[in-house]
Amino acid sequence: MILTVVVAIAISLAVPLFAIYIVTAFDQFSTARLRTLALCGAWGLVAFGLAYVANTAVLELLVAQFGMARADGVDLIRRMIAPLIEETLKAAFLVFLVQQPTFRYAVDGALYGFCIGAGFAVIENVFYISNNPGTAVALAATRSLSTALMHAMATALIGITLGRARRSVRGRAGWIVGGFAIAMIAHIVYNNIVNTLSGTVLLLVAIAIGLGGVGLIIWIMRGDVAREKQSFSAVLDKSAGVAEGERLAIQRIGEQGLSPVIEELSAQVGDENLALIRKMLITQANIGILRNNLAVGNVSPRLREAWEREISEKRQEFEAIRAELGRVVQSYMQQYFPPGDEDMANLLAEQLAAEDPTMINQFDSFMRTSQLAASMSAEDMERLALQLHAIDIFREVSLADLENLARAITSRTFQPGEMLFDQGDDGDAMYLIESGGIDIFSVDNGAERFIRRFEPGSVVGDFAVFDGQKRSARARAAGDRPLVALVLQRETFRMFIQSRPGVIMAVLKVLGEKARFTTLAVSENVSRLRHIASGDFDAIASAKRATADISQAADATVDVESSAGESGVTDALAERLARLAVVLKGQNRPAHDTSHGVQADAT
Amino acid sequence: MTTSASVDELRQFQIFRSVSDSALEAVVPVLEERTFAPGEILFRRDDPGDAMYLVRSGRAVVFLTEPTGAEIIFRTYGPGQVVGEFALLDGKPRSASARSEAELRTWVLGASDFTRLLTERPVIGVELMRSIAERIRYTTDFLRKLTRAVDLLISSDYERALLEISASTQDDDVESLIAAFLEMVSSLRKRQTILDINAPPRVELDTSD
Repeated sequence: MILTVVVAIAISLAVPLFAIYIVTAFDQFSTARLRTLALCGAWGLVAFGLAYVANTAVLELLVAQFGMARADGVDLIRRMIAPLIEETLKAAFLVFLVQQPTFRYAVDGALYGFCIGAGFAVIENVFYISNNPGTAVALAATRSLSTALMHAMATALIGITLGRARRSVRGRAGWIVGGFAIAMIAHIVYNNIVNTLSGTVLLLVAIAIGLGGVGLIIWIMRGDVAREKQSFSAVLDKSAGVAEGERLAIQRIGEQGLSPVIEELSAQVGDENLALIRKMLITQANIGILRNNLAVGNVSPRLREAWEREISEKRQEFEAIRAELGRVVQSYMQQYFPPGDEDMANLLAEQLAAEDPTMINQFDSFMRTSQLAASMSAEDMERLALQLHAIDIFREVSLADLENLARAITSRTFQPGEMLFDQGDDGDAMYLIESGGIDIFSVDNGAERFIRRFEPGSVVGDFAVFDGQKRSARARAAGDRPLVALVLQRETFRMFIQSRPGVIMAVLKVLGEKARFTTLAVSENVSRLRHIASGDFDAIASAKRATADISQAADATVDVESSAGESGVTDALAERLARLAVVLKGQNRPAHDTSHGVQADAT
Repeated sequence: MTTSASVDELRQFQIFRSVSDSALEAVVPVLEERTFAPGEILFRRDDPGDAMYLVRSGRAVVFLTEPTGAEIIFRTYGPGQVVGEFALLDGKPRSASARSEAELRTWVLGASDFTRLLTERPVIGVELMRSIAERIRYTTDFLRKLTRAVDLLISSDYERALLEISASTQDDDVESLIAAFLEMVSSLRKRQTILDINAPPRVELDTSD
């Protein structure tokens, strides 16, 4: 006895689960979520409980208030009232789901509805089986193939119409009311048929209705999937067939840019998927760019290795995003944005860079067409990278990155006296002196005042590549020999770093240290100024800084257009304040002592 | 976290002043609201730099404790200022301790969130780079000016010394320097100090090479 009940319950579970499995196979885009499907099944169980309570309450009402005979009441409920109550309760969860952002279209509704109906029917069948243990297996087999499927179909119909309503602009109410009406009528008709017929005929008709219902749902779903596919195609080309889609997609993106495509996509796949698609396109484009890089022959082994590593990282990233997107995009994206298609990747990169330049390795695609980069040997790159690495602001940047950047470094020769930049110019480049020198002048009313000279190995104007501020002085090639300087343009540098957060962080690290230093210097000097203000000269006058390397300090006060200046500037100020304190401290100290020390060190 | 920052509020902070709206929108969700009772410690010297604090209201002081137990207060931070951002950038331990004074309300940006933000939105890093570079340059330029002004004071030229120091600035660091300098000058004037005419001459730069 127990065994037959167990078998019966197993059948009651297995048949609906199998039906769900079949139906979900027609969800080609896999938009319905597994977790939601399970929740729907669970709701079916809850809805059955609620329906049982409601049906019983209505029965009591009919008997007590309207004096109806109990048997008549049961019959009326079974034929007319239960279908209304049950369909309403089952669909309540669908009404909630359809309003969620993850809900896409009618196919989702069909599947969710099907699961709710199946869940409802499973518990209903278990209920019947436990009441009729004698005919448990036969009951389970027939009811699973008939009533269970009818329940699933009816709720699926509501799901479909709610899904359609969600997408439609007008006639929304029509879809909703129509869906409920059809489901309820179908349920009523079914209940009346099974209550009228009997025997083998009943069995055959009921099963036919159950299986037919599943067929109907699948047929409707296929139609919706096909329509969805069509509208995907229409996103890229209104008239293109699938085979032509790819070519036309490239053409269309080339002509109109990516934004109209992305915009239309957002309507189709929702914003959360769109953000992922964007990320995936960016990754794909960057892989394409890096692969192009590898095609270049004259590249240092270190840089080649770094690119290969980056490609494999990006590939993993790409796969991870694709897995997250699910099949909707796997099938769709592969059709239109095939991975490995270099023309497509280049085109995507161009378009994406135009819209959001910070994520695309634009520098690399730019370098591909650069004559200079093509003429540079691997040895040149390595040598330049080492020179860049010696510059303070680049000391934390990896050599591989600097070798990449080195491809954009130009070497320029200036004749003696030739101007590199003028005071007030926009800071558009930094200069690294290879040979010769750079003289810095401040310009006042047209008159040049010499400030200092920079020697080979020094960097001039390096902060310009970060902030582009106006030049604070004039720079000329010094001496009587031509100046040879390596030049890094601000724009090139920007292009290089904006897709490389690793480089940005390495540079920020040095800038952070410098900012920490200047902030500390500010605090120290504020406290020195306050000490002097309050007449406390001793602390300042005797400070170690007063005897610091004054020649360096003095030099640094005019160390403009160089980032190496901060420590010199603070030392110089500390020394001046110490001197001021000494002067203020009084006349008991022979002035020439200090004077002597300063003079000696300054030479 | 009941409330979240707004782009407009973030814009009040110097480090975000030049960051675009869309990039700031990405910053908003990673900020965590935190309130400190008066006297509560934000971080101690040598702690790892794991977060920066954007002061919304109240005050924080950054200080060092000397071996003798005496406390040196470096600076006081108020609304619109950021405490502890350098440790986040250069990854070094805290160089000083910080404590709240009046009840302190902050937005906290954690180190890992900061790194993730820079990875996902490099534009924030680019703009941060620019704003920090500008600040370093501005402060250094001002320290240079201050050095010239002190030179002028040493040669008793109050007027030109004051001219060197411009009175208005948007930068908090420079503002504190200006205030301290003006305070010093007025104190010197009050004392009617006549600076020694025997003061050493200005060190002239060797411009011959």
